[in-house]
Amino acid sequence: MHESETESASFPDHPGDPTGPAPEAGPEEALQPLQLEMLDRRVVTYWLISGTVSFLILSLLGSGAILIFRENLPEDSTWILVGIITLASLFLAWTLIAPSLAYARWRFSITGELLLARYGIIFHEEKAIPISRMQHVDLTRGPIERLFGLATLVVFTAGTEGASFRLPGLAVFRAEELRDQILQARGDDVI
Amino acid sequence: MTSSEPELLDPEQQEVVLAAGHLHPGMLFLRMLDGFRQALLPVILGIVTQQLWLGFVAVGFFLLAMVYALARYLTFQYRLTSEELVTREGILHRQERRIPVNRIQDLNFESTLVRRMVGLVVVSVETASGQGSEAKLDSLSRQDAELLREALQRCRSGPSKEDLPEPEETLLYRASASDLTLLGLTNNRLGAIIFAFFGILELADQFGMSDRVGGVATSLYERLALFSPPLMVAIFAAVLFLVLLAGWFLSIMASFVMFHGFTLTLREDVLQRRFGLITTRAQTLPRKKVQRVILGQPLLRRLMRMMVLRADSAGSGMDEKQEARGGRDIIAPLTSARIGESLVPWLLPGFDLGQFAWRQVSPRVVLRIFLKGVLWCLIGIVATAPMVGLWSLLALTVLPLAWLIGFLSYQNLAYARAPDHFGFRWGILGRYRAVVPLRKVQGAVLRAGPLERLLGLASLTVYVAGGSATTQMNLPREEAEQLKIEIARYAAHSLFVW
Repeated sequence: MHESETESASFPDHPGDPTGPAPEAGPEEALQPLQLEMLDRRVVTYWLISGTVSFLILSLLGSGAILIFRENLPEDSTWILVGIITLASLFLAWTLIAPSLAYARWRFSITGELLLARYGIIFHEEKAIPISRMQHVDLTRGPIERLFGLATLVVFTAGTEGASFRLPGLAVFRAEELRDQILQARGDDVI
Repeated sequence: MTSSEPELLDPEQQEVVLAAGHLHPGMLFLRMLDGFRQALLPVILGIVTQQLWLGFVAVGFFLLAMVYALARYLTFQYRLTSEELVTREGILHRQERRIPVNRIQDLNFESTLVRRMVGLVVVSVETASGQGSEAKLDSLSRQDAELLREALQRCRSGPSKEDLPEPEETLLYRASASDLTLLGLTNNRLGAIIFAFFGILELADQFGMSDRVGGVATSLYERLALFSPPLMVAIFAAVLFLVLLAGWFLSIMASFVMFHGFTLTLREDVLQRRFGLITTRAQTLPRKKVQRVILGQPLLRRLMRMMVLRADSAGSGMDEKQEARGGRDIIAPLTSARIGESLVPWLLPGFDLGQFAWRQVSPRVVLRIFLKGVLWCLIGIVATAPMVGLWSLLALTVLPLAWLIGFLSYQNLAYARAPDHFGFRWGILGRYRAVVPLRKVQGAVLRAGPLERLLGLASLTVYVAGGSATTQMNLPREEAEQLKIEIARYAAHSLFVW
């Protein structure tokens, strides 16, 4: 433990290459970006509704399947039913809780050079995308999103894997602002 | 019609046409062969079943295919200007495709045995779209293809260099016969043989021959039962050895067929690879388009101090299977570790592996993998206990193995940072190293699951423009966070060239 810490101190923050395009600001500044922004509050309701809708569809399909195959169920099928109901209620509980948790976890920030985002309830993710690498920026709005005045910002970078990143739950005007900010910051230095 | 045509043509006429041409008439011959092959089965069926109409249908389709081929031959033309490569084809449905020169990654040549006898190559135009080849010129004569490539390279390096003497081509690496033999020996084709064996059994079953096969097997077994047990073991071992030998032989053959005469050369800034016994391939890879270099050493090869050197370019990695078959990303099929390492500076100018001071990841990785083992072990015990009772405790034997895997992984897991490059190292028994030029980075992601957070670990994934992402697991959280920002900021401040 201690060993690794001392090593990390001696590890160069920036390589001593004056001609290289190494950024001037120290890494600490970037680790705590000045304005960490949260998503729009309405996204919780939006996620709740879309989650509940998919839960309802799934449970309809599930109970339909049980009704159709009820003849084929083994004699003592109570346990199976209990198991299914437990799983379903756990799933329902998660559908109800997850939106607020996800909202509480979501943070993003657009600095002059990077789009930073951190999210994920159980599995945390932190993403850093250089703005100069973004190929294009989309705004998408599904029907329920439109109902709530929300938009999703989708940025695309080159590459086949991990090439797109979705920033959900933004108020429409904020999403448009962010898009313009990205397009401005990106400039013309991209082929 | 007449009023609109000049408008369309005018700007084109002002451009300098560097290369232009048609398909080679030999392609008609190739299509004819294809047509014959396709018509063969219906015709035979028709003769066997005395159904004359099948034959007529086959002939009809053959004629149709020939008309189509003829139309394609007559209408297809390509033209390379300093700006773009234009292909045009079709009579009724006229199709024109324009590919800007600076988006062209590669011109790949491929010629099968038949094509080589006629002196033809298939030229495929690779771009960074990630969709495979953008256009296929099937087929050109070898001279035309070479001319096209020369012209493309000339207009890439700028017109001013046109008067300079022919650029030199340096030979970087040539695969020796022993390299290829070793490649075959260390390739595991045993699985393929077993698979083929079962495939034959399945086929026999389809044709209702399973009884006969079964009969042979039983009689064989009865005959074997006559021998004494030691002799039986010896026979069994001999058969196994023969299968192994056959597997080796096959895979050595395969590696020669694929990589015969493999040479890697550098001309100006473009790497060229030529290889193949039956289907010959000539592939170019501009150095500045290299997105990632991987030095792979599975266990056997590591013990023999050999390695496979691969390089991803933008646009590669979209179809891994196809790629593996075509050897698209191979820089050196199998070579000594020393030569492989010395090739890296040729792929990534201004870099060599000596710049890397490898830093091992946190030793907590051993604990993490062990805990994962414990988790799976518990799940296994709980799941099997109702059925086998105390026997389910056998799952505990997995634990030492989990610890061993953790320990071995820890030995290999490392990362390194050079001024303009980032390195990953991983493996359990083998060892793999990847070098990513920071200029090519498209994004960096840090991930941490519950167990990783508990241990203060995180994994870092670096995305580049081609191929799959490179992930380094089990970094100490703070180091991962700092690296993520460093890498992304470096990319943000450097100019990205495809």
